[in-house]
Amino acid sequence: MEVDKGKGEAEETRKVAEADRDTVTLKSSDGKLFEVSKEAAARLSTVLAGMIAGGSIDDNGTDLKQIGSEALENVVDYCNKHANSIPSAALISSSISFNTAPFKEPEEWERKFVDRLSHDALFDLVEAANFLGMERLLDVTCHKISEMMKGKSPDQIREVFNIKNDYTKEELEEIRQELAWAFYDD
Amino acid sequence: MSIDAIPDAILELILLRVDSHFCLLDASSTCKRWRRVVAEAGFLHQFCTLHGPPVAGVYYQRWDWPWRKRNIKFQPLSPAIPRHRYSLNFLKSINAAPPNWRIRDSRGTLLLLDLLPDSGGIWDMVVCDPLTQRYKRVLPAPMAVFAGYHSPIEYLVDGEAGGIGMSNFRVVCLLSLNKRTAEFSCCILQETKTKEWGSKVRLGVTTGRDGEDRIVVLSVAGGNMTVFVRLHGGGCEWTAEKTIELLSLVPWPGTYFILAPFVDLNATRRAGAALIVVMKCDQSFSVDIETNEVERARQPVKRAHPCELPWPPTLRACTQLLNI
Repeated sequence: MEVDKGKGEAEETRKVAEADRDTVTLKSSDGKLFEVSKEAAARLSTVLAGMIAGGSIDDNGTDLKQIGSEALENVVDYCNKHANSIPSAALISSSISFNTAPFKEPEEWERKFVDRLSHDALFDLVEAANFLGMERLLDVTCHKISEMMKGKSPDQIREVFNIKNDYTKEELEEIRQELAWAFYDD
Repeated sequence: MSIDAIPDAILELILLRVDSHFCLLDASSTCKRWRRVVAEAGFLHQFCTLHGPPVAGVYYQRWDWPWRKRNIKFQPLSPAIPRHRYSLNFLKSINAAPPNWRIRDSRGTLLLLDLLPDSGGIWDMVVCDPLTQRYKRVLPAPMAVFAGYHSPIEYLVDGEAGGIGMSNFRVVCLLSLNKRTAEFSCCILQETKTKEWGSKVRLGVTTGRDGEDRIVVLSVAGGNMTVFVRLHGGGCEWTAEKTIELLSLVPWPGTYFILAPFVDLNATRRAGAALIVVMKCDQSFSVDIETNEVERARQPVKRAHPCELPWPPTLRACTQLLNI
């Protein structure tokens, strides 16, 4: 890492000391501290990578005010698990844009990781992944949520996600009619 | 936190991952917000790019007793599909319905049927759109000069305007061949090299990952496969894009190749699959015409012609008022 020439010596020493540490400390919105592997954090999160490279990591816990402790615990857990698992070739070469690349299937451990989460925890994690720029975790969590709709009717989907049906009876009929000519039987 | 608190941008990412077109339409009718996200400009197109075109079902030929009687059957891929809307009975008015006619190819929402010369008449072709019940005769008077030629197979490809529809399609078939160029209807396939094709060639069609159709000409002996792409702004002219030497790619005894007469539905269902299935000594191999990758292919049981749903569907109801 190249150090800014204009900065003071003390700053430099602090940075060097920090660069020597192989973990970073993150602080959730409710003040809890979590340690995560620096290498994994920088590899998996564009936001954390930027903070590490820019030297804005605080030894006493970098404030992540948008993320609650439960979600941050899951993020850290995911990073640490990722650091321990052997990344497949597909993961390493995931430089293509998120929206146009064909989806990569979650790996077995990633599937288990999201399967054990409650709905609330899953939605919190999806937001945290989005906030931290964690493309892969966002991919895995979005995949999990989309799977929950598989083979379900609109009514069942509403039930799973606790969605309020804000259509009137007439509107629902209008929607059905619009697609009926090709997509649904009368 | 509930799904209602998730920002639209993430909801969009979630809905893009829904694994079927039907499930997406169901999801879009759960509430106004979800419908608005799905109806937003570009979403349905992007969904199609990621998941391939929506297939309503497949048409296939059944040979019923007595043997000459051909039946064309439709098998929907989802129980939601209204089967009766895919009936070909509307062709009866032009006497183009089975049993005399056989199904040759499908592309997009269109089907290509032909009438074998051996059933008494002259060779005749019709392209139709079952959902809208529109059809077009493909062999008008000038084509009578080709009477007597036998075309082993015909294909539908996109029209010059891009994409395919009743007013924008082309039919490709192998009619006659001289040593240097093959003529397909009024299209010219240009060979870049003045290399001669062998006396026996087969014709195939697939779609590249860029969404453009490719015509593939395979010389049976030696497995020399030339891939043609439409010239940009070239109307009906197609130019050789690359040549694939199958002999070095397919590690299997024998030097004779043919294009598989049956197409694996799973391979054709994906848009831009860039795959062509060749056979060598009764073994099928799918060849990726872009990467030259070769895989052993499953032998499909029957020749099935997937028929797509019109996409993107119109989602007008209950979306206008909410476009904030």
